[in-house]
Amino acid sequence: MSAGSTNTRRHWIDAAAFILMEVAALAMVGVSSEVQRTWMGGMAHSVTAFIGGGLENVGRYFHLRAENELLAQQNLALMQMMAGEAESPVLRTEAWTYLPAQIAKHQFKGSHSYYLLDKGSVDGISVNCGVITPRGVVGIVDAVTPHYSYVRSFFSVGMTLSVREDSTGVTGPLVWDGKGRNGACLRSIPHHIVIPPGREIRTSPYSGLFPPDIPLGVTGESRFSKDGTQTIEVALYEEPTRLRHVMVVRQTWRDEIEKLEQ
Amino acid sequence: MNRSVSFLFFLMVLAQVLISYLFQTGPWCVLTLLPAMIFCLPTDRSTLRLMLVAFVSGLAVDFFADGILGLNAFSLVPVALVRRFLLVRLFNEELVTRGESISWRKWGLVRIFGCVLILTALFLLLYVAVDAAGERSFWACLSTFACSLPLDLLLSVPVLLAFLEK
Repeated sequence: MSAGSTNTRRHWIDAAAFILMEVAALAMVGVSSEVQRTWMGGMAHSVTAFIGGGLENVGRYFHLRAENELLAQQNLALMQMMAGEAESPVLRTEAWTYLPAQIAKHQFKGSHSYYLLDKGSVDGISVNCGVITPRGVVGIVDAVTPHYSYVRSFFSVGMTLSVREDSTGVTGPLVWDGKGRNGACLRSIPHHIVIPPGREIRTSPYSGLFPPDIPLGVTGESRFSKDGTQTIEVALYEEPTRLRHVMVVRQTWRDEIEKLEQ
Repeated sequence: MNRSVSFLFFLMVLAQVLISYLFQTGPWCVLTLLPAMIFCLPTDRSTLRLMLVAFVSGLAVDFFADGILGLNAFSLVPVALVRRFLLVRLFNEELVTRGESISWRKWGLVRIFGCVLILTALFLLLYVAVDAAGERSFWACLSTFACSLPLDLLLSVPVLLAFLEK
């Protein structure tokens, strides 16, 4: 072994030993003094927040292009929906009311994911409003406070969407596949109906929570279930962890429809 | 370490324990012999060995002097880490590679005290920062540092006289 590589190895060993001893000493300081422990905890949080914030900023910078394209699409969609109510942020079509909102926080953990929106009951949001983007369904409002809304994400166990495939006109329930963040399954499709891969799935006109014809994703492989129906894989368009701007939707005459149904 | 150096080092650790235990100077002054002791250890000792000696002696002082356990060890290990680098820069590389003893006559007062000053300053910076734990202002910490440095240099004189060759 050459003298250079021996020296390099010795430097690495020294560095590792130094870090080890310093960490051990700091740990002992933390254990023996409450003041120092609190201070070190604060420092650790500051460092973590600084690094995390930096990474978040870098990530946002690189997503600006996609974000801008998405906003342009949303603008276009909103302009198309405008019906002479330019002063109000709330936009109405005949059947649906749209309210733009931003995601204040989101959490994707296990089988229950949620978003917090920066709009609440004072903005006209109520429980069971739908939350959408031009490229998919985000979730359903589960709880509201005056200024915030809690939205149960589509990527949660037990969430079902009524969807339609255009070429066949077949409708069925769409559920999260429980694995990734852009995979879903279209279930209970009769066995004689053939839906080839690559067909677009949209929201159906029979949902009371979401407007019809919102594009959601494209079909993939299909398989037969034990109950004799087909389950079709669906690759969703929307990337749920990158969302910033969403729209809360409510059927304009929902109360009237509910009353009628009762 | 040969036996006499080890014994002397042990005595100095005891002296440091007594100083820390008996002279409760509060937050305004830190009395320490430890950086000078690390400086005086034989020059052919590896950095790893020096860091281990620094860690153990720092812990011993903290434990027996009833201080914050780990504080002296935390501040002294970096002193041991940079000692070799400082010896090469301020003295010369042969001193380290040949394991020569540091003598007053050959290297002079200024160079020896300069090196001890840098090591002590490094020790105090770390010690004062962690001891203050964000509870004291920058100026209070600077005052502690400024009070302690000259006193510690004075305390280093007997250590240097005991360890170094004439």
